[in-house]
Amino acid sequence: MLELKKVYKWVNNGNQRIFLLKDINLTINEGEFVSIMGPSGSGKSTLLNVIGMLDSFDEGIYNFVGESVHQLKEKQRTNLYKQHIGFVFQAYHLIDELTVYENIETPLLYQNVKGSDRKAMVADILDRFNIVAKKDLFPAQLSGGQQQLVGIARALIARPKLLLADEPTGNLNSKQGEEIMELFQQVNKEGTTIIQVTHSEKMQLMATASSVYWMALLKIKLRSRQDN
Amino acid sequence: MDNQWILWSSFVLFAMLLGVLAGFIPAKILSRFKPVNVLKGTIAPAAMGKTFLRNMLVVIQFVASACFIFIVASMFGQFQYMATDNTNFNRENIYNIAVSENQRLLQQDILANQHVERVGLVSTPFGGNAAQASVAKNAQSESVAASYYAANSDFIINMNLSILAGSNLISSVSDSASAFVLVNEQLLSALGLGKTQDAVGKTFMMNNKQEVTIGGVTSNFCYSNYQFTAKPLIIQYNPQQFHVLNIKTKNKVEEQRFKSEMNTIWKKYFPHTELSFSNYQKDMYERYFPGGDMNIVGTFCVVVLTIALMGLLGIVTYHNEMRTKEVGIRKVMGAPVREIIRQLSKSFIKLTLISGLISLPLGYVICYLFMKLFVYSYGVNLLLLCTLFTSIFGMALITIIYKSAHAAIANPVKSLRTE
Ligand SMILES: Nc1ncnc2c1ncn2[C@@H]1O[C@H](COP(=O)(O)OP(=O)(O)OP(=O)(O)O)[C@@H](O)[C@H]1O
Ligand SMILES: [Mg+2]
Repeated sequence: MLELKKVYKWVNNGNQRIFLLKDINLTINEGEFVSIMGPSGSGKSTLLNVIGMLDSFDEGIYNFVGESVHQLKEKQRTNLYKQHIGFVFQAYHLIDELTVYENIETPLLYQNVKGSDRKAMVADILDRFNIVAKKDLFPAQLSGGQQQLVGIARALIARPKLLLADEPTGNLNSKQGEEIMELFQQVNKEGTTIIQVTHSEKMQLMATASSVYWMALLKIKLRSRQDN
Repeated sequence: MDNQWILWSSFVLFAMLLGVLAGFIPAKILSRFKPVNVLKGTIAPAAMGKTFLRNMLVVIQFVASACFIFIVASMFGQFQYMATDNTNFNRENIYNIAVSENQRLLQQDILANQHVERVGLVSTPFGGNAAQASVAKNAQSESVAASYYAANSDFIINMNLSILAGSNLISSVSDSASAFVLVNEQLLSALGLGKTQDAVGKTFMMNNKQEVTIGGVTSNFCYSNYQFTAKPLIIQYNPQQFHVLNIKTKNKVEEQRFKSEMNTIWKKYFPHTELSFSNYQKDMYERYFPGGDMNIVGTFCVVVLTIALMGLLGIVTYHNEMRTKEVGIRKVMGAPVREIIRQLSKSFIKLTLISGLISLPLGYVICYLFMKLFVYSYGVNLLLLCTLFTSIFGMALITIIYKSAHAAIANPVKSLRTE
């Protein structure tokens, strides 16, 4: 599904070049559930943003569903990710001024989905996530776990092939975290590829990820489960 | 002059009020208003109350600033009008020379100068303090205060006064005063002398001793104070009281050169006295344009305006800053840059339109009320109002579009970073 080869990212600070990613080689197949772990500052979020095409990189090759991302223009890249990728954030990042319903509907507005279809799709996912009763509430009126559910619903509404999650359970208590992980597994079973960044070993085990990567010092390497 | 004081102090109070309204209150309310509380859910449901308050503030801010600018512009306009007006009496190409008595030879010498078109004679030029007289319909009736000018017919022509009935003063070189006078309409109504058309030939008593005949009637033009209707006015040919040579030049002349030419003539007659020469247009500008006051108020305006504009800028910035996270989220959801700019500007453009709908009529009313203080006014300059409004609107538009573009182009990763 996606492949990164010798990807480097840096920023220039005066004469100095500060690396943010170093020699990233990564291949992820369709249907995989990938976990990336590593200490703070090791570049996990940066890598996830690069994979999600929210951020650019400076050197290397990135192929995504057959497209050479490094050769695409900004606009094409936006089109590519809005068709194929859903994002889930640690801080949920719901729009405060919109209701649960409107928040979930947002991605569809930018994909020119017809009004009646939008209605059906939102109703469907509200039902599936058991949050129909909350659809007219504002994010501020929900608990953290509920907000993250909405965040995931929003990420999945446009039926993306790839779900990217940056510490999706980072702000939740362990019970809420477990629920989210169960949901992820279910989504993954239905065919969505998932890449998540996580801090917690336990969450990670719960997730029974198909592959686990370890990031340190801006580099990434595969870690077999037996390493634990 | 008392009235001027009331005018100024009310203006200063008004300005301060607006400054506070436009600058401090929004800042106060906004600082009290903590986004964190909204995020935590202490203020819920967040959307309604928050945006309504924000919108209200933008509108109030805009209306207050716009009205303030309108009224300042109107004031400057009115003073400028008073200082440069030529419609009530003519000030253009007029130079005055003070003389102690009727100087026929000097007058003729000046008239011979190539630049000079006409030399009038007058007791004191318009715009200053007129001599007072009392007038009465006849010896038995109550007397009324009036302004008195001694002048000759050429002065009336120089001043470009319009004669509504009868004729100008009789052109004369006699040494004795004439019994025919020029009056304004106000005198007719003050004495109950009937209609303008029928006034010529009627007589009235001046200073309880002299009976004079109306030879002509002028309009109630403003000859001194623009705030009040002109007092009853009498202009009489009376050589004993001529103290000023009122010179009209054919075209614009270079003042210094003309003055030295006049000085040469003057010295022939009065080698030991200084020539007292003045440019009437400049005199009147200084008389009517309150330069000193305007400097103080101008400085004050700049301060208040800066407060107001910074408030406006602040609220726009705040407005956009509140939405950087939202913009970031929308971008990640796939919103194109143009759509985001449109969305950010749309709400603001709507607000400025609402503000415009309020501030244009409101500004008009305020300016109208201000102009009402002056009987002789330039009127509300609608074109100026619209021009000012458009420029304020334009500035706001540039600000918001610039800010929106800035927000829309920004990398969403930056605004969504969790730390
Ligand atoms: N634009 C940038 N300019 C300079 N340094 C940056 C920039 N973006 C990220 N960094 C740095 O790169 C490093 C990696 O950041 P990143 O957010 O990817 O770490 P992380 O592994 O996600 O850490 P955490 O577990 O704390 O989220 C950090 O030291 C960060 O300060
Ligand atoms: Mg991170």
